[in-house]
Amino acid sequence: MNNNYRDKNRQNLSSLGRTRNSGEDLANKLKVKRAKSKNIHRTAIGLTALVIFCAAIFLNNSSVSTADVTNVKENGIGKGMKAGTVLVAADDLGLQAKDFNVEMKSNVKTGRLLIWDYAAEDGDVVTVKADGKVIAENVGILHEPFSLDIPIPSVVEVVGIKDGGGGITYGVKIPGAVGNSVFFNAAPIGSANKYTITGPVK
Amino acid sequence: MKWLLAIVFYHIVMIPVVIMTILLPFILYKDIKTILINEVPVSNGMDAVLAMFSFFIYLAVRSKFLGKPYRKITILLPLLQMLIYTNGALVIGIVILNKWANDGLYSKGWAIVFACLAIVAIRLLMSLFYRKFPIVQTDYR
Repeated sequence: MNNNYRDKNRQNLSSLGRTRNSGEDLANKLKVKRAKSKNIHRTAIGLTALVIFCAAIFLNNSSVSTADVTNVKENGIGKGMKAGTVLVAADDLGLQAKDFNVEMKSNVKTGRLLIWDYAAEDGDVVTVKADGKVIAENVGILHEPFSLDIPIPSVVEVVGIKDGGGGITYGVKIPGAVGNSVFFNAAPIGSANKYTITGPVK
Repeated sequence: MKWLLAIVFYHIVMIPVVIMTILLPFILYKDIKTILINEVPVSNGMDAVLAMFSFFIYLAVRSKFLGKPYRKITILLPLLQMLIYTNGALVIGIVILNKWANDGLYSKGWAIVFACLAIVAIRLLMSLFYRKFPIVQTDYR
């Protein structure tokens, strides 16, 4: 009788201990899970910072070197430069008015002409014509590019209207052109620079 | 002394970082609108700004000491982390749109499709990530 009672007591005590143990286990597991989750969020934001930092270094290679400026002085072409590139702070690059031939890539059906002032924003004004028709009249050019739709193939003329000081200085980029170049130019007042835009050479 | 250094070198920068991180999606949205409406590329310096912001937020998450004031508002640090991921997605969208606006790599339609896909993909990954690893309250007291 006494032995039975003792055995039952032992059983009850051991089951109580198990319950307590499993409760602690659950709490510990939860703690571990929380810590893991917290660490993962910490790692994720750290990795994101690193990835964005590397991407920023890789993507922001748009600064203009003195070698680039020298090249532009020679032929007026800035290879691979971005639209809106400002070459010099004042209108003193000394570029001569030039005409350019622009060849488009094979997959380009419609064209856009981006035009901006690559030197000082001094109130230069131009008029843009495509195949003799005016497509934008008296456009005040700024550092921020201005976009115009142009037909392909066509002959685009940029006519100088007003000089804000130091000559009418402007850059032109036609996205989708072979070489992805920027054309830096100076427009004489009353006369035009011509851009002969051709389709892909077959 | 420790606190003074933290205030001078960290918190003075971190407070504008918090405000700007919250405002950044609106600024990036405006950039996207400018590219699509004016059809001109925007200067992409936002990735460098975002890299700096995410580094400062990482420091707040990493260090108990530096992040202490920001844990007073429980939701702040997780919210900033989510905003960094969202801003990252928007910056990638801008890079894709800029490739059309500046280089003419693809048509405007494809640029919009690629940008939308990139943004949706990152947001989807973010949702999966937070589903698998939900935000937990830390016990820094």
